[in-house]
Amino acid sequence: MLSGKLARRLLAVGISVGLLTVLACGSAEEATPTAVPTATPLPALPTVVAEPTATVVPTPMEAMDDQPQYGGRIGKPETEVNIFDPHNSRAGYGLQLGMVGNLYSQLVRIPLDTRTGVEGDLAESWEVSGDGTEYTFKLREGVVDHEGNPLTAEDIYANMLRYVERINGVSVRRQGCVRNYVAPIYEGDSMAMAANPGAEIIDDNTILIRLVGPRAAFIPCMTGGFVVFHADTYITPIDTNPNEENRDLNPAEGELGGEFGPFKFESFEIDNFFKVERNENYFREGLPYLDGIDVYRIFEESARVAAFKSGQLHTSCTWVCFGKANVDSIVSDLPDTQVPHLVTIGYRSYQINTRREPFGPPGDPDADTLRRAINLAVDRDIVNRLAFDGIGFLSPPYYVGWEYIYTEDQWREFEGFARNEDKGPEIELAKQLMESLGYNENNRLKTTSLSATAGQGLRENEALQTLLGEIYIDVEVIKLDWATRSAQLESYDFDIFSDSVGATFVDPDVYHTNIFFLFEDGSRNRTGHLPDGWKDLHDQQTVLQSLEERAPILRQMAQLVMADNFMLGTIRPALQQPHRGNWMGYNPPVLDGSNFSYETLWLDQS
Amino acid sequence: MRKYVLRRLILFIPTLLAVSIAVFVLLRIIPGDIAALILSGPSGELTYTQEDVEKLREQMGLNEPIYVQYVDWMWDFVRADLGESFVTRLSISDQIRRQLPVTIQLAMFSMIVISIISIPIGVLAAVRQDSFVDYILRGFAILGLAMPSFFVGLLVVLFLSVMFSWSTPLGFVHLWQDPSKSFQQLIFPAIALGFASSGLLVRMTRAQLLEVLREDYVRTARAKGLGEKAVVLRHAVRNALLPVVTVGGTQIGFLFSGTVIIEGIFNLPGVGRGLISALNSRDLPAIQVYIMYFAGIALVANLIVDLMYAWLDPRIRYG
Repeated sequence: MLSGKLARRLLAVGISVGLLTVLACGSAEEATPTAVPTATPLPALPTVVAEPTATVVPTPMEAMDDQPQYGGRIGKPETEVNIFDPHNSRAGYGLQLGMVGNLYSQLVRIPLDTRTGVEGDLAESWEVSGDGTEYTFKLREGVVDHEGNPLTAEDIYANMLRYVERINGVSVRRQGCVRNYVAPIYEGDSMAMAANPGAEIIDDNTILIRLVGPRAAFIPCMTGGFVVFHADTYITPIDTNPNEENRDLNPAEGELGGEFGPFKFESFEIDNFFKVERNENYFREGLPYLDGIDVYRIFEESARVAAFKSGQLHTSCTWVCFGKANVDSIVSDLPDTQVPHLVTIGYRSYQINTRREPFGPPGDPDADTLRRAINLAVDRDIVNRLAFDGIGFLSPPYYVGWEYIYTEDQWREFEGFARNEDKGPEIELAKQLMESLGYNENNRLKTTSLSATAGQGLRENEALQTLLGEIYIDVEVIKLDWATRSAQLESYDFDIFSDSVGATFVDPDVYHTNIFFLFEDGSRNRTGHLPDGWKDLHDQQTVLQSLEERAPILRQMAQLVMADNFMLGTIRPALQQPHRGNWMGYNPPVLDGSNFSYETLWLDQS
Repeated sequence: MRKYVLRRLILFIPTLLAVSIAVFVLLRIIPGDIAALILSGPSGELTYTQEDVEKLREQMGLNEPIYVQYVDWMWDFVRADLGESFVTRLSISDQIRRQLPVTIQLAMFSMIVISIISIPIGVLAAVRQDSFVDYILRGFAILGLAMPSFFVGLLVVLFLSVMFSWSTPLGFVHLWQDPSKSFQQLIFPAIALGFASSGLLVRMTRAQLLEVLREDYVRTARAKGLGEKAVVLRHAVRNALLPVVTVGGTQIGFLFSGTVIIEGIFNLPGVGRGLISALNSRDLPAIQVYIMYFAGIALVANLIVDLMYAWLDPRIRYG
């Protein structure tokens, strides 16, 4: 037999391997470098002439009392870290949305502290012409990009040219309102300047933007997070080179310069990380507070949770990347973690195909009754529990935070929106309506709903299946990927479909004014129906500057939609964004088209 | 031998062609329109018109008959022009070039882990046959065989997080850039990846060594007065390891395929994670290249194993 000595040696090898692995855990990089106090108050910003267009949104977290310690870097995960071009929608959505506000500045923006109204960013002030079609922006003096080049009207013009003319075929899909509102800069398909171009340089510090007509939502449009302006250093050479078709800015080639924002590009590796550092040239004195932001691509949720718990991450992805169970687990292990449930602005609904019997056509008494019964049977609070972990928000036609239209309590008074505890009579009425149509336990209506293959999209369809089962409707949930569903929707090949328009930036009016702007091109209204009179109302309110004047029209538009029961607003999921505590009362902003700027963020380094 | 290798290499061509046709056709007959998918954005949040879809389909050549698309693609492929990603518009060659070193480092680490763990444990289990130690080590081996690598990976992540509040450092670096950090990033995925193979090799080593220890020449060695250590290490283990090494070679392909999941769990930007990303975003050109890559790895691994047979056992000759 083998001697005990040899056996011990073999065991020692095994133990050594084990020790090596344990040692490997010992020296991970510190995630929070030493703080450098640089506290400086935010300079007063000029008051704007534009009318505020956003109401106060829910702020789930109170300011904290701890003393600030400025500096340090924060770690942030994203599920994708690929190309980064604010003008290009192909680039990773979360990374872009999370970083545009940190790297770039806007002409005007929503103030980071109050999240209400509008303040000048690169623009010091602006004036609107009497007919509401010309906006003259006076640029802030003394602003330089991170390389020290001064901001001029040429920079703004180059970006506007991209947005409006889509040179090189760059998509600029997330700046759709700029394209829709601003007049063409070139004449037809030529490169010749239009007689009244959409953008015109007045002098080095002044630019005129001309609209196709008066648009009340133009300034809110310009506050959209993706309507950013950076130096023309890199975009002009690309856009003026006829061979550069559909070419993105390429950070890997250093084409990410010219940032006027609080941070500047530091390093980037596709699929790996994206790092920005403090921009010493930033025009707001003393800002940003942080030294940098390290964004890592972390593909798996389990890896994100582990990295968060181990202190390498300080916040969540820009978009949702922690399920509720994992958020609960993080809070349980790290009690100081803050978890604001942010309302995402948008609209989530069950859409009913009114081109298909028995759900349509509108005006047919039986079809109208059937859609009404379905709306009554949908318990929004149950959908919330089943599909969104109970942390979602009611999704009526307009954002619930815009109380100048309706408060949530007022929305709840609409048929079908009753709270769970008051839902009984509505369900009873729904059953009676179905029975009046000849349906009962022995004669059930068979139908289908087009669903996502997984996640909230699937769960809300399964919730629908459960809810409609009570009123003699059997719903078969058909799970398809988005592209296939889109193809079916295009050809109206569906019965019921659950849709979300929450993240689209095609028209930022979605975020600031009116969800139903999307109806204009029918792109997100899949039902094949538009109520009579809706378009006239839409056109009326578009040109009104005052909320007081617009609100009654918006209410009428909502009532038209809700009366026809073809788009049944349900529940908008909340974004759970766990982050480590002591962020100076900072809440990651709601996605109301503003940005995710961290310029006033500080961390507890104690 | 040279003829054999040449013949095997030539046989790669029809195999890869068959794989390429299968993957090309399968990816195109599944439902859905790639142009619509791209236009709908990474989260399906963007709207588009049918005109946009048609324009993009035209640009991407998706309106051509499928055989034309295939021939175009293969022609580019054989000229090492792997094309551009539909999603990022970046060169797929660059993508693979960036990812491959990560995967190779991980696979190498795994092979080292497998060797370090499985051979000593297998030897120990054999020399302590039917003892308590043997039962424990055989249990370990069966555990390795029973648990898929992704499950081991998740357990490792959980264990490190719960027990030590630690996770692998973020932001991958190569071994030659920062050996310490790279070691920390690679060792745990390598263990997770190599655990199953270790189980197999422990059992192989144990079984082979037990067989060899009963051979006449081992008895002779003992009879002539050699110490047990010399008998086991110098005479028995060397002979027992021949089939073990061969089986170890077959694990190369297994390790590379295992990286698909493990790289995701441990956040390594390698080829495996690249494939998953491409699948998620339905990046057809990238998926095709990745599948061809994995097919190539499998072919090469099999060839290496076959050649190792002859190298390790001179009695084997290939006609």
